[in-house]
Amino acid sequence: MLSIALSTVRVRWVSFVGTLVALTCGVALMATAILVIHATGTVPDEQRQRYSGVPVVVLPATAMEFAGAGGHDESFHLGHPHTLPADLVAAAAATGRVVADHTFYAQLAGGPADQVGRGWSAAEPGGYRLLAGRAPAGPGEVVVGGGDPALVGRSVPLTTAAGPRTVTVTGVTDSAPFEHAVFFSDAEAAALSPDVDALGVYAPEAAVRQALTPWSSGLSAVTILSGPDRSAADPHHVAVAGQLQKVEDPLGLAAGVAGFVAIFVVAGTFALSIAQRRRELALLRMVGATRRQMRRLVRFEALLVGLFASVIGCAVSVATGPLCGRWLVDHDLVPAGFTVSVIWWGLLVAALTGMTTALVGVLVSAVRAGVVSPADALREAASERRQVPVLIFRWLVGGAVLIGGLIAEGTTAFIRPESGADAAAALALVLINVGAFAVLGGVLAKPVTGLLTAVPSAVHALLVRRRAAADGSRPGTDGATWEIARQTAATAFGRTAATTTPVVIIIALAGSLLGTVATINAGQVTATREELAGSDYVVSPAGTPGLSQAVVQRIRSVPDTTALVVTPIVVYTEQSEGHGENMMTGVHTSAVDAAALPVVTRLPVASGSLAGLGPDSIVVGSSWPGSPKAGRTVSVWLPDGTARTLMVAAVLKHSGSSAAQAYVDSSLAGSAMASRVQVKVAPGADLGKVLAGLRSAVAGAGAQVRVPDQVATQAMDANEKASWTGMEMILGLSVLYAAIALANTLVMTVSDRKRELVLLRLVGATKGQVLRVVAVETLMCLAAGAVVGALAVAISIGGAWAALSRLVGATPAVVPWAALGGLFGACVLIGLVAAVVPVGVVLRGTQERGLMEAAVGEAG
Amino acid sequence: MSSLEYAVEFRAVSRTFRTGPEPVAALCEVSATFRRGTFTAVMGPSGSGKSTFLRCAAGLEQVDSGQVVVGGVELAKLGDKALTVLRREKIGFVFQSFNLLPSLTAAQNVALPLRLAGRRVGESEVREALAAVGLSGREGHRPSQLSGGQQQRVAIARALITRPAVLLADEPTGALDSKNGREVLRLLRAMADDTSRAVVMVTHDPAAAGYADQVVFLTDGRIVSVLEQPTVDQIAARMTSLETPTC
Repeated sequence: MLSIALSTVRVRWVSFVGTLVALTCGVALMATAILVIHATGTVPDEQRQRYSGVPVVVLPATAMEFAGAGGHDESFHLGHPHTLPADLVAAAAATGRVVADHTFYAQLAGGPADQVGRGWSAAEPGGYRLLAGRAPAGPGEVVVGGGDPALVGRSVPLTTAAGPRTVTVTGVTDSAPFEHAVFFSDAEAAALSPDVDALGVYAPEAAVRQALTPWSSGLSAVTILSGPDRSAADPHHVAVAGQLQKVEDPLGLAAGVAGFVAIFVVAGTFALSIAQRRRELALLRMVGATRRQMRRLVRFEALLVGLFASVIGCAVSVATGPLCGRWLVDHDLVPAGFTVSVIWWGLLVAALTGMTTALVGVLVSAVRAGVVSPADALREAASERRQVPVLIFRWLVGGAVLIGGLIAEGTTAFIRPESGADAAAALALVLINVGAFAVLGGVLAKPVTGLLTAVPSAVHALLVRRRAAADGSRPGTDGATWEIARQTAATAFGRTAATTTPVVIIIALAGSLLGTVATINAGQVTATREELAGSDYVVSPAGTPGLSQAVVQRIRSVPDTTALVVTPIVVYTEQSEGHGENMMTGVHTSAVDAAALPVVTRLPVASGSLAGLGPDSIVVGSSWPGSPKAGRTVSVWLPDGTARTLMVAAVLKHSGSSAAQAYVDSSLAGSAMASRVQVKVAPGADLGKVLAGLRSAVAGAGAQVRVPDQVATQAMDANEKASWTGMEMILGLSVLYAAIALANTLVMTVSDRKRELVLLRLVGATKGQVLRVVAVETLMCLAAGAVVGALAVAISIGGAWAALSRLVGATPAVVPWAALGGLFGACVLIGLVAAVVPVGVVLRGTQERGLMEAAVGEAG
Repeated sequence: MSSLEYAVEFRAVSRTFRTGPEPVAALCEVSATFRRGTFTAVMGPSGSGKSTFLRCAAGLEQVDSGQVVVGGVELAKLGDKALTVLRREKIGFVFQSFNLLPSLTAAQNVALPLRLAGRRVGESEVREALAAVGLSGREGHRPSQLSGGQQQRVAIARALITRPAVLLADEPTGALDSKNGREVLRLLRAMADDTSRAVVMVTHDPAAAGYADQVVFLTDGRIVSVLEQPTVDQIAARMTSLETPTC
């Protein structure tokens, strides 16, 4: 069987080119993704880190206890760690010299937004060398990391969480790769930020562990790091790891989409190839091949193509992997030192996945080849019979997947709307939908072409009749072209199915993904708009991580205004996972001035009242775990781990998507910086005057004043946007190889058509008419594919829209018309060229005469 | 046992198609035996049931009643797998056209039935089979590089490589010119002279049927007459009388 498969692949290579190209692209994409994902697992090695100069680092506990399933205590890591207690610092100091690290926000005028303030003693573990001047000694003296030596002795403006102030630069050090630091004297650093965020100990690890035994057990145990583990204490290192992690998701999705598209392309081209070879396969059956041998033959063919594709795909990825790494670096999605190396097992996994994909793709084709009847070898007629079992199979599988998808969409929309707002979760639903319609595309193509042609036919018939009536002539021949094309599209089932499927995939995949993401983004804009409704102006940070207390104070003092200061925090609550199991979930919460909330905002309330918000209460969104009613109490953990029981003052009608899902009083905010101030102008006050007042309040303080609409339309997360740029690129590649498959399918069908087209010529059709028949038939198939694809798009976008409407209220469903139009246009272009040009070549001069002889010969 | 004597037996075989508005009896109580070492032509006007007859003999068509016995085995009792194996071992086929797998060489096409049976095929075995049909030295040619007559001879070589009990031929000369057609018929005649095998050929060409030991005439699914050792003129005359409209 293997040698038969080999000969078939060698001789009928045209049938396999599409499969080969699709699989090669798929394998190359997967291999590239695997190589890059593997590379993201290791953060680029940096010799010098924040604590590389100190042997042991102690970090405060980040774990928090809560009663989990069956009363077992479980731990949960907080976003905001505790401080290290003073007695612990004292105990550690008994083993050797210690450096208590206080890290806080301190940004020089014109400095980067992530600039931090630290105590001077923390410079030593970081390997800083003083290049000019001297160490900071008194209050208001600083050493600038990586600063210009000319700064020494100058007074410069600096912003901390408290507000702007002026400091004197006493020295500068070399720059560090892991942070932008401003060093204060240890005393001033401790005063500005009392929490000890990390403790460096110059002592053997064993001695430190011994001394810290009392703090080393239980869930709130401190973390003691030494050796290479110390990098876990470096926020830069952690941030880089996080950044790399963020790249993994879209890449993983891309690999998934690539494999997904490849399966359908393989399935489509193989199905067509089986249909074309029906008599050949019947002959094999006739001379004694069993059904199993037929199935094996098809699988062998797929494996052979899969093997070639895997080898080429892996070879391509050896080049594209590092290229992709460079692209990520160039777009600042990963740090500069990021490199992608080629690992053999990554390539092996991609190759095996490619071969598996090929085998999965021919599952149905193999069965079809097995049920070919040997009697078909005796049939002369080339006209295709509709294969009823295949149709039933498509209806059943496609229908089942579609129903499953619809149930999932419904569940998402009505039970877990918050996951509908998550692009990654939505993608799974999108793929189910696209898969269902890709399978159904083949069976829906016939009724859809019927429907598509019924209307224009009627119009055409009417026009022809009218024209005929007008000039007294007989109806023209154009009707015949149209009629033949229509009939062929309806009867050449396999060809129609094979042509429509890639179009279904292209339209459905691109439309669903882009539409879902755009709808989710629109939902975020809607949510932000609702949050900001009622405010006249919004002050938000510009080039700084947050708003300093001084800016906030200055805004509050602008006359004729009410200010709502919003500090974003995460509070934790238990969420029932069913079966009596609970898990901790973090809820994006805004800590606000309770009294100003009902004045400045117009949040729609389902029950309770915004005015009821106070230090012991909470306003929750509609999707808060357990859906509590107003007046009930809920248990929450604040960012620092404090457990609180809060009364529900109000339940909102909606729940933000990425924005706040709950509101608490500002007294629970802790030390976090405000992210925005919403300003309401008193009735009758002069808007212009207020705006001028606000502008002068924020002048030079790293903040900007905007109207709510501006803020809302820019609500999309910039980082997310970058990830989706990558996603769109991958989507583009997948679409590209579906398009290649489309072209290949059409070229494949030319050999099918040869005889019938020559027959058309023999009965008197002009060359132009024959070409027109081919063009019209192709257009019908493409249009049918687009219609079926549009159904999938409608369901995907509809699902996301339903979920978001439940979440954020009335929000638009965004249909990416431009992208869909462009892609359909591209399909039409590719399709027409791939269908008409080869037919034109076939019909040319001598070749045509030969064909006519052949047709006559076979008929006689 | 008669099974050793007869390669194919039809015992009151009926087959009716009910796909159209009116049921069409393609075969009606047909009984016939085909002795090893004989060459039989099956003739009849279009729609007489010739093709159905051949398909039933090959087990490609289920019969409604009666029995078809090939090489001593009753076909109706066999499942698809057993039927496939039977076809592979006991039945050889030659059609009007499209006999060969276009992607395989002549030698590969000839070796195919044995390879499908999982047998290792010796090069000499295939070469001899091709030589027997006058195609020495063409082993490596693909069907597209062979003439129609040569293709047909490759098909005969393939049909015989398993030493089948019966060789079924469906209009084997239909797509050939008369010279090539005569050569193919002479080959079939020679195959039938081998006493282990029966050759059954469906044709509408009296000249082709002239090579046969007996000619069976079918009309409306019934055997209407049998000619033993006929001449071409006898056959042509009988055909003309059958094709004359009786309405």
